[in-house]
Formats: sequence, C-alpha cells, structure tokens
Amino acid sequence: MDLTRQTVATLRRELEDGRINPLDIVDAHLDAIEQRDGDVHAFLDVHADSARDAARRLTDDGSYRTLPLGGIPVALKDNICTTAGRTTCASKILEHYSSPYDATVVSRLRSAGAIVIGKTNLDEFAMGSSTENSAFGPSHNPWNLERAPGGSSGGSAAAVAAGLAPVALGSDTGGSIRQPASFCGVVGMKPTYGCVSRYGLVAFASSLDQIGPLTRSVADAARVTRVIAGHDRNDSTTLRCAMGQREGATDADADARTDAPLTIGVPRSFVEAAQHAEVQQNFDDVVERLSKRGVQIVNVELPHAEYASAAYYVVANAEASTNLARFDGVRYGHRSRNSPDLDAMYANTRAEGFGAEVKRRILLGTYVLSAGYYDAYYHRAMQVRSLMIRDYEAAFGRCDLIATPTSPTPAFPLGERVDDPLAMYLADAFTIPVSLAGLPAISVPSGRADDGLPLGFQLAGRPCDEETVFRGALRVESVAGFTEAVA
Amino acid sequence: MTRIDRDTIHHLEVLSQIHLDDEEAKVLGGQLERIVAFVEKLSHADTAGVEPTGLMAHDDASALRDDTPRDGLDREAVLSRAPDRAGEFFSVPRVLGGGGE
Repeated sequence: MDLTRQTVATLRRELEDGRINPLDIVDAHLDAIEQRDGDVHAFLDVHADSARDAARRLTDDGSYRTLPLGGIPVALKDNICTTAGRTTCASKILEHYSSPYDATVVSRLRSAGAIVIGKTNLDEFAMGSSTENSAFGPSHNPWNLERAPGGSSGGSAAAVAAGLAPVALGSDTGGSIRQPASFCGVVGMKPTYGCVSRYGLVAFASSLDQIGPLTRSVADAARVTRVIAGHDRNDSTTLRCAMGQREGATDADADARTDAPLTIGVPRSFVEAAQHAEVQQNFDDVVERLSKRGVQIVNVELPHAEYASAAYYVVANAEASTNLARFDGVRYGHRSRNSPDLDAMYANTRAEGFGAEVKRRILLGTYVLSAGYYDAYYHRAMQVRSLMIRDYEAAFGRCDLIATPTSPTPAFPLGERVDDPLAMYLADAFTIPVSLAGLPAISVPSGRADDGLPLGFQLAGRPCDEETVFRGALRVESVAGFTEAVA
Repeated sequence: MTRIDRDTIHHLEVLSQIHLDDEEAKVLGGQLERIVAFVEKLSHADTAGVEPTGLMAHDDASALRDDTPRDGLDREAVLSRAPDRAGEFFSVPRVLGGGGE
C-alpha cells in the first residue's frame, strides 16, 4: 500500500490493525517530500527530525492506537504559530521568527496524536489567491505545475494533493481554504467563525479569519474539525456551540448512511455570473445528480451578493492595516538597520519587510479608515455585511444548505494575474459572501475540466451547523465520482 | 472616479508607517485608484437604516472570562526575539531629533 495516497480513515485502520506504525507513515511522507517538493514547493520548512521523534514516542507509549489522529502527519500553514521551527507567514519581516508558544490548534492536534510534519507556503500574511505573493517563491499546482495551486493556503492544498501530507491546516479569510482546495482537487472546510480558536494564528482580518482542514475526503475533514474545534479561553470569540461540544453531536459517517431529507438552495442568478462554461456545466451536473438521489433543490436569492467582494476588500483590509501595525521592528522580526530615529526605523523596516500586495492592502485599509472616507467605505461595507447576513437568513428559511461552484474558474496559470490585483480578487467571488456572514462552508472536488484540472463544489450552512454541511458534502462526494485524491 | 494623487499616497505612507520610493508610489497609486473605483460599487447598495456588522457573534460566548491571574509568556523567551534589547527592555533608535548624529 502506498501510504502517501491514503485517507486518514484508511491510515487509522491500518494502524489500529497493527499492519503499520506511525514511523512508517512519517517516513513515507518525508520520502515523498524529498522526491516531489522540489517541483511543487508546498513546504517552507520540513520538520523531519521532530516528526520522527514524535512518531517514535507515539509508538513507544502505544497511545497512537486509540487517539483520533494518532500517528497521522499534519502540515500546517506557516501563519500558525509553532514553537518548533520558524513561523514566517511567507514574509521577509518574519523570515527568522520563531514563536514562543504553540497555537491552540497545534496543542489540540498533538493531544489527538497528530504529528506536525512541516510548515506550508502561503501568500504573504494570507493575502492573495494564488500563493504567488509568498516572499519565498510560489507553490505549484500538483495537477499541472504551470498552474497556481490557489491561495492563500496554496501550500497546504498542494501538500495534500501531491501526497506529501494526508492532512493540512489552512486559514480562510475570504476563501483561502476553499479556493485552493478546489484548485488542487482536495476537500477544504472553513468552519463557522468562532468554531476554531484563532489563538496563535497570525491575524489578517480578525472578524473573518478561521482555521480549518484540507483533506482527501469529507469524513477526514469532519474528523479533523472535531479535533480542533471548541471554546478556548485564549480566544474570546470562540463559540460554545462549536462542533463536537454540543450534546448528541453525531458522526458524519453515520449520517451519510441515513437518507435524512436534505434541501439545497441554489442562488441561480449569482451562480450564472460564473462565465466559465466547464465550471457551470460541472455545477449543473452535480446539482442534477443530487436531485436524482433524492436531495430537494430549490432556488434562492442572495440579492446583495453582488456587493460582497467590494465590502470584503474594505472590511478585510481595514482590519489588516490595523493588525499589521504590530510589525514595527521593535519586539520581533526584521528591523531596518540604517535609520536615524524611531519613525524612520518603523517606515524603513516595513518598507523592507513587506511585499507589494501587503503594502497595497495596508494602504487601502488605511485609506478607507482615514478621516473623510470612513463613512463612505468602511461604515457602508459593514452595513452591506449586515445585508449579506440577512440574505442568508432569508435563504436558509427555505433550505438547509446553499450550493455554488467554489471558484469561478479552474486553476489559472502562474503569472497570469500577479500584476492585476482586481483580477486576482475575482477568484474569491463565490467564497467571499459566505465569509462575510461567518458561515461554515466546504469545497468538495466535483470533477475535472477538459484539461484535467480539478473543479470544486461549495456548500454553505447555517451558523454552527457543521454537521449538516458535512452531511451534504458526503452526498456531493458520492455523486461527483472524483476518485483520484492524489495528483 | 476618485483620484489618488501623490499627496494622498504620501499621507497614507505617513499614517501606515511604510516608506515608499517614487516608482513604488506611482505604481501603487494607480492600482489603489482602480481598487477604490471597484469598492465604490458600495455606494449603489441601499443601506438606509441598516445597522453595521463589525464583529461576528453566533452565540453569547464572547463574554468576558473570569478575572483570574495566570502566567504570561516567559520574559526571557519574549525578549530574546527582539532585534535589539538592553537588559530587560526593548531598545529602539532615538525618538527625537533624528537626522544629525
């Protein structure tokens, strides 16, 4: 059995039955990284020694046999703090930074027996949709190395798709888990805002950021979400309704076998804005197959979705301009060395440390918050956000889940959009409205375009209703017939 | 369309503490103009009387936690990450009167 092409569920079965041990899995993935990551560049750092040590410890004490992620390698997006190795956010300003503490998700993964195998590439500070904004070079799509893996969690998606890790964590602000999952043919889950602690996630836009898993199956995504979700005293925005903490939380696997009634809403006029024929065709095919399998399909309206991207780029960058003020060369990270006074040191440190997209977004965020513009942009964007939330509340009066394609296009060529920020922003047209409303949403591989590139199907659910999202996603997975989990 | 001229860019440089060279300022100015034109779409949305959403809260969990003291990060671990320090302090260049040495 090639251990680098399996789901977590399969690996766990092999481990529980004693046919393999954690070190077999870790070694197989380290070998695969050695062989393939020169081309893919999913990883910024590989934690080979500490991963082998962890595998030996889990084997020696036998704990891997019963833990939900016992012996499973996990790759972490490099904006998630780890005491092991560096945490760079793919930025020069943090190139040599190591965190004095672990993110809550890292502690939770470790308690569940998972083994951190390395840190993955991203758009600098998670700002982008292609991973080309990394200060350390882009990642490549494993299905076609000339294409972008999506972003900003492109390294995480590419690692799972290339057989370099069975699970990766990403972060999603406007689509940064779901869109790269779609581009790379893997499952990507963004839980409800507040479901997973952000303690130790380097902040981009605090009212939107959420950590979630990228995996090779829906069941794996549910398993990992259950491990990382839950209230955390270190993040006061975490919810108590979070997955796995509710009484009677059910196993998504078991749910899939039931034929519980399910109604999926399709915002037809919004979806038709995707002018890519194959994306449209694939989406319609999957909806029809779901319908034939007993899922009820209804039309819904999201009248304010057309304003969502504009509202998002105002809100997210306003928050980013504030959050990134902390990178000032005083307490950690890069400091410019040739500055006569403190103000010049700040301005030069940030000029040297940040890349073009990060500067663009900080300036935009500063602009929309500045005197005279606040009402026209920031205040108005927050109002549109309320309207977007109302749209979803009304739509969920008629259905359990809302379906769209994940991305308006399959993976685009590397280099195609780097000089055109607005074209890049359109890559998130379907994921952004969901983010503004803080809803749980998943991207499930749903087929391939003619040139072989994967396509993704997005399902969004009501707040805190991850279980229904997974239940719907299992149905999509079973009708879509996308069977090659590894490129 | 809103013009973002050199003076506006300079103002944003000061507010955001990022030094831009002339070429960078020119390119960013043009890009910002196009992005601002895009977000001006917001003016078409009918938002009369709509309360803004700044923070998300899907339940009442985001309450204050108990005010019980606990250990913070280890001081040495934190200070050891600073680019420059003086004993137990962060050290920075002079605050006033830069320019002449």
